[in-house]
Amino acid sequence: MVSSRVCLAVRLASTAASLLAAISFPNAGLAQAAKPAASGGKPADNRAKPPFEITEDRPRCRNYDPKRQALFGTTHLHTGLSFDASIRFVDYANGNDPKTAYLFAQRLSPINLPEPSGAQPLKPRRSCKDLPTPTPGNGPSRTPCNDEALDWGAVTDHSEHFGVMGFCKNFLGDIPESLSMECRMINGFFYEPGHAINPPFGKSLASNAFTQLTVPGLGPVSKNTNLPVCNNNPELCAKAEMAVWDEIRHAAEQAYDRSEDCKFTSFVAYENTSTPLLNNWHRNVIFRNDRVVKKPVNALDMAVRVNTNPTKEPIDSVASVVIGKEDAARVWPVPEGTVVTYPLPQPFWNKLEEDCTNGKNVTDGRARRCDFITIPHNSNLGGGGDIIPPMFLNPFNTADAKRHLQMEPLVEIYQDKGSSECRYDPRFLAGTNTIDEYCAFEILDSKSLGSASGVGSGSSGGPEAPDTWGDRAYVRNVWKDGIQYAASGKFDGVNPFKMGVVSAEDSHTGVMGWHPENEQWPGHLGIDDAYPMAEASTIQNSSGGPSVVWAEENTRDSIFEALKRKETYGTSGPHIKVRLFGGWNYPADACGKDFVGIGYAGGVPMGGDLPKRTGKEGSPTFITWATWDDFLKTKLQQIQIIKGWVDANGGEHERVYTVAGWAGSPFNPQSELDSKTCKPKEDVGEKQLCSVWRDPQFDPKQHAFYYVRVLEEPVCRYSTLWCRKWIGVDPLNTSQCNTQLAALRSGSKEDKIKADQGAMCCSSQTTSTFVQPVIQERAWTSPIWYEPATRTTVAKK
Amino acid sequence: MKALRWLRAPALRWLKAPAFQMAALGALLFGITHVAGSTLVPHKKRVEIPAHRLEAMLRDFKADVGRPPTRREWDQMVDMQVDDEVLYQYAIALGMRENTAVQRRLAQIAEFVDANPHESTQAGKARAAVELGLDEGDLIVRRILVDSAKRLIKGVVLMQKPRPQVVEEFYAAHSDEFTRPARIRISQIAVNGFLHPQSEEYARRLLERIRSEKLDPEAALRLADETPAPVHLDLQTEQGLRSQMGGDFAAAVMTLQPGSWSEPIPSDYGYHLVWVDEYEPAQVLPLAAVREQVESQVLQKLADDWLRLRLRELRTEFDIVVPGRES
Repeated sequence: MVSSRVCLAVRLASTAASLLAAISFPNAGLAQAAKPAASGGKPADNRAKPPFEITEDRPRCRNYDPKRQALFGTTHLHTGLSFDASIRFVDYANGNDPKTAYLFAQRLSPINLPEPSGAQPLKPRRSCKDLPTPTPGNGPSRTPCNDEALDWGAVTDHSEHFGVMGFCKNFLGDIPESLSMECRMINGFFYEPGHAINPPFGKSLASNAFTQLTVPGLGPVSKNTNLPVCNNNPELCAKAEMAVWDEIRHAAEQAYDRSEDCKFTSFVAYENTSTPLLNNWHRNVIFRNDRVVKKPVNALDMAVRVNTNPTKEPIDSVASVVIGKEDAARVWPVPEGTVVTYPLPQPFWNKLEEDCTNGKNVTDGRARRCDFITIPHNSNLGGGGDIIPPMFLNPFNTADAKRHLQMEPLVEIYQDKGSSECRYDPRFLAGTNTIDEYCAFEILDSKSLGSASGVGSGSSGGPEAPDTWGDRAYVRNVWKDGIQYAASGKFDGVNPFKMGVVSAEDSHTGVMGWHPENEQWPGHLGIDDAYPMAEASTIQNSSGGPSVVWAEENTRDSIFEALKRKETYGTSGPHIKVRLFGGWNYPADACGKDFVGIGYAGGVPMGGDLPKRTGKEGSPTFITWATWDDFLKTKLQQIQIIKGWVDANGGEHERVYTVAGWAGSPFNPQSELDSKTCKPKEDVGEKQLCSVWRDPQFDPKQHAFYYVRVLEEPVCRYSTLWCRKWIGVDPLNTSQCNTQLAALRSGSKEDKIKADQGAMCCSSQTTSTFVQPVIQERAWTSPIWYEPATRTTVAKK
Repeated sequence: MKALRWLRAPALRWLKAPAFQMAALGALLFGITHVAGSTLVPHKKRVEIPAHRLEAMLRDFKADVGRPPTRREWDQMVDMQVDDEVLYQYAIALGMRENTAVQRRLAQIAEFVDANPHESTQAGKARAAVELGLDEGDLIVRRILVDSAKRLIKGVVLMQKPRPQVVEEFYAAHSDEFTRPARIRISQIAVNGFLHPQSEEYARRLLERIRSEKLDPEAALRLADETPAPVHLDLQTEQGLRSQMGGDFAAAVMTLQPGSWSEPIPSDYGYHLVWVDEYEPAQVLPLAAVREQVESQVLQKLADDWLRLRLRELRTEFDIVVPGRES
């Protein structure tokens, strides 16, 4: 015993000594915080002056392309620094943080997700070269790596609770605030994996913390406040908030490649979590460079009136506020005397402009000035009911219409929580102001954030008719309303809703840029949807898709300007590339030539306005091209151009044209699939499609927009593959699926657990929970708009 | 260096304390002191993982998974419990119960049992909680102490600067992580997929013509169709090529050798014959360019290694009893 102890002691001592030798004890004491590496100096001389503004000195990229290239990124992703990731056991202390998210995006690191029990993975995975850690029991690995690397990205953690997160995650050490009720919710103290007396109740309590942490402060019409722990300690909370914001900024700086290789671009960003009565009014704020606001401007700034005494003054949840003289400057351009029962985005925009653009409260940095954009998302969960209007509000006046146009150049058309493009429901054979059957794609049965996320009161009464959704829940309708405003002249011809398009993820697990359409998807909300097929609200969620820009190079200035001019598109996951150009006289044989050069020279790319008509032109022509994702290798089925227009009576219209490929069958894509392999049956589809299309029904007096939707050949939805692999039921075989599930329910204990985990596996297009076992992945471009050269006012809606 | 931020305030206090400095040196030289008979924890304390905790773990696992854990899974779960218990005891031995957050929590617990809670001070209530053993069952206190102990152990390393030699050795051993990828400069003859539906075949015929007529590169380039793809692409990585031409094209081109036309290679625009003008192999970035990154990784690894080492050693300080398992 003594000799073994001596051996151990000597061995450990020698190792300790070598460790001691490895580190030095400088007199200065603490090591300095890492600073970003110096830039490479002045831009390379062999690049022509780029067309975008340069706000930061850095070399141009080696693969700079004046015709622009498709760069795949993300504008919406959460890590363990978001409160609603942490309540679901996505653990910042276990490496689920912004730095790791950026490494994950580039396939340089795995990331740790909680196991379904809430425990952290037993055996962390150190590198993507190692095998994924198996999950005890059933389900995909909780230590994934990305499949296809991203070019750029932004971590957008929820900013309102940065102070609270700073307390709870020990940014200021072990202070008493880390024991507050808020921190107990955020750190999952109500449910301790491995120790809980009643685990299901504990888990429910843990995830319901979302409602408690969100509704009181992030949705009232007025005087909304931070959480009590911050209100009780405002100075300390501010310090904690700065510490968290510093970490986010630092992680972005570390991830940004400023060399000529331009491997990865990061953006400093955060999310505004405005949630009036659990309706989603969220917006992401993306900064152009390292000059950012010192303090995030967010949902707390959307209150009509500021709460000057938060520990004593109550919030106004469901009241109405009349805009008074004292409010006018803050909420400009909302006019005095306006009655509102909801928060306002105007003060949020105003303060961001003041603090960032006008330089009032900007951090130091390498760049010359601060700039930002805000991107709204999930209009499909964004209200439109009686109390809370849709997040795309009617402008109050012309100045407000211009404000919408200026502040929100983009909208997130698709993400984990469904598609916001349009809605068609085959269960009702009707849509929300559309008859486009291809709009039956990733639609949710929820109308609000609470029910979609699985917390709070959900819609449990089965499917609801499409006309019970507000029109403006869907972006295509918002675009139609936008050109209607322009056509009516109501706001001096301004179209307030001229937004381009991105897709995103919104995963709360740090998995930046990962959109698997297969059985490896572990859900996007930690323990809440660790088994996505268990509940109606979670099976309808997906893995989101990338935001794509056409930019000259992979740098902040180039990408940011692409975002601002809307030369952007999004996909439902695959790295499809799409081009769209609009002009008056594109040659019919452009596809056989340099159609990109022709497109730019003779018109505008996606996101632009058709050149003004002189009167000699005929109908507009559009060049559109798409190429498949050559990693996933699912071929393309068709390219559609969707036109929206307003007639002389103010009526809104839309029409879908298949311009390349072949028009498939929107409700029976399964017939085109081999049900065993989940691949297309024959060698159908194309790797590339291209078309020059002229609008056959063009009326030069009518405002219009045109955007492209590209559809792949059908594949199995991830839920189908998931149910086959982990549950052992086949959603494609409708008659047998329920039989298989019933057999599991009456089987062994392990079978019964599987039956619970896959309770919704047999959902389809006709069940009360809408799920398509077979889908067509797709891409959506920003529109190109047409305005008549001479204004003719149409009847107002 | 996220560790630095939340370590700074309490760690400064700890680092300045002579008692801590002595303890740290003692911990590093524990082998010698151990043989000499003096240890940090004066008595070898008996620590038992409560049977009810193991039962709860087993019950939860079966409820979640529907089967008992395998031997390996069980051993891993028990090991985590043992590590937590050891760290908890270590934190107490270092006096970390004096931590402000812990004191407040202990006082909160004691209020339930204190006969006169309003008359007692926080310190008094906290003492009472410890005397009654209420701290041992409280998950919040345990978690704070375990986390604090981990941070303290790792902080000893993370606060420091690694020696240059260690940095150089790590850098040499992990050079693939600090490698600039290979770069290539090419010229290409495009066959437009929309002009020639059988574009691969067409490209092959072009290649035969170039070879049979012995066309020089400039003459060969004049055979190309017009496409959006530039004829000449400057020196760039596979990632850059992928953005401009597609993944299949990029992967294939990076394997080419200079001096001859390639076989047809597919891209986003059709098929291409590619001539490599220049190839720059992957090169390890000089240490000076990545020193900060290397130092950070070295410190993280050392800190993790140190934590593991320290846990192994601490285990020997306790008489750990796991019901149903040899200690």
